[in-house]
Amino acid sequence: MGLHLLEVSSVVGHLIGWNNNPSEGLDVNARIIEKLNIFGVEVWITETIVNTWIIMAVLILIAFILRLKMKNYKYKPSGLQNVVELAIEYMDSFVRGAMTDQYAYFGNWFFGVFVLILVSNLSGLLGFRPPTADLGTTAAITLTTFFLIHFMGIIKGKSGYFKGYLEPLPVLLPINIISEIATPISLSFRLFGNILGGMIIMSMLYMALGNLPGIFKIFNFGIPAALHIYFDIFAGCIQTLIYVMLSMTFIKDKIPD
Amino acid sequence: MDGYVIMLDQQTIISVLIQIINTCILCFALAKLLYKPVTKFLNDRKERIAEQIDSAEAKLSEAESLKAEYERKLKDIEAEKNVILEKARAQANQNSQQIVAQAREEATNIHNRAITDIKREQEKAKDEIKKQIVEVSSMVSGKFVAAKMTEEEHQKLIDESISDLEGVKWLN
Repeated sequence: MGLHLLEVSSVVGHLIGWNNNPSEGLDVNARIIEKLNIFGVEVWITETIVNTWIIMAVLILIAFILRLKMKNYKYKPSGLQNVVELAIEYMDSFVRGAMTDQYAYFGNWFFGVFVLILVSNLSGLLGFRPPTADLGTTAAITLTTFFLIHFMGIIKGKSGYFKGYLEPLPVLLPINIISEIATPISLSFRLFGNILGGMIIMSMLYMALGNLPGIFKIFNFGIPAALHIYFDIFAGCIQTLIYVMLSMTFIKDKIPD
Repeated sequence: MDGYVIMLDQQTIISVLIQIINTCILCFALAKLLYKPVTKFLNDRKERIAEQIDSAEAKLSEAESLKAEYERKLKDIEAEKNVILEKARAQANQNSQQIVAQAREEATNIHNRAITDIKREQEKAKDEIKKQIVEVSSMVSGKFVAAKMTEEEHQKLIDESISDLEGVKWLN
């Protein structure tokens, strides 16, 4: 029994990539594409960054095409305009619902974040390694949110912002500070963990299905698709929604009505 | 090729910085290209629709008040028409009665005048006849006198003639 557990732990070790060796176990690593040297600083261009660039390029291109196609907005919408309006209006009412009409301009930021996270999560379906399955991406987005939380808090909340750290009791100051620091950590690790977890499970499944003998290969039909629906589409959409919703709520908490 | 799943070193910080820049570029581009223009357009449309609904409501209430006013006016006109008709009927009645009375009066006048005229003509004719009888009789008597008449006979004849004349009933 002990041996068995050891084997399991070694498999997990392979999976998580502690022993950075692609030839053994599963490969869920983010590859390092290029190691640049910029002003004496070594900069790794990783698979995550390249995938992000691809996603950005596609999204900006789509946005550009949509913008060109709708050069003359019609008062009575039709066709493509309906779809675009639906998406934007959904985001707008989402922001207005979470942050009140007064702060509807946050939609400009959260629309981009929402689309980036959603498309990143879904890019796993096309065989990309989702950029959100890398702490670098989730931490980056979360740091901007963290900055927004406290910037807006100071700008809008003024002295109330600092007083908030002494409530309900001044003794709780350290705990309040810890909870503020925990916010971005929990945000970034939640998204990162969920997407990476889904990716690992899918990789394990493909490895297992690939090693099935003879007739059992029939399981290759259907099972991956069903799990992709759950891990990529369902979890991807839900995590995007949770992330954006929580970010907006955290910002809203710091600004007075 | 090297790879990693999670790393917490200098490269993490660098990749976080790169991803922050990427995210900002993407958010800026999407906001500029899609979000801002579309939300602005949607808001404009929302305001325009609200305006149209307001103006439609205002027009409806205006139309309703106009309708009520017209209905009231129509009713007034109906009443006025009845009054005028009634007045006209009364006037016509009065006129016709007046005309009939006038006609009757005129007819009476004409009748009376005719009667007086007849009377006058009668008188005139009577006088004329009297005069002519006197003439004729005096002429006849003149002839008799010239032939063979004495004073006595003459006087006697005249008296006889006059008494005869008085004895006859003329035209009355």
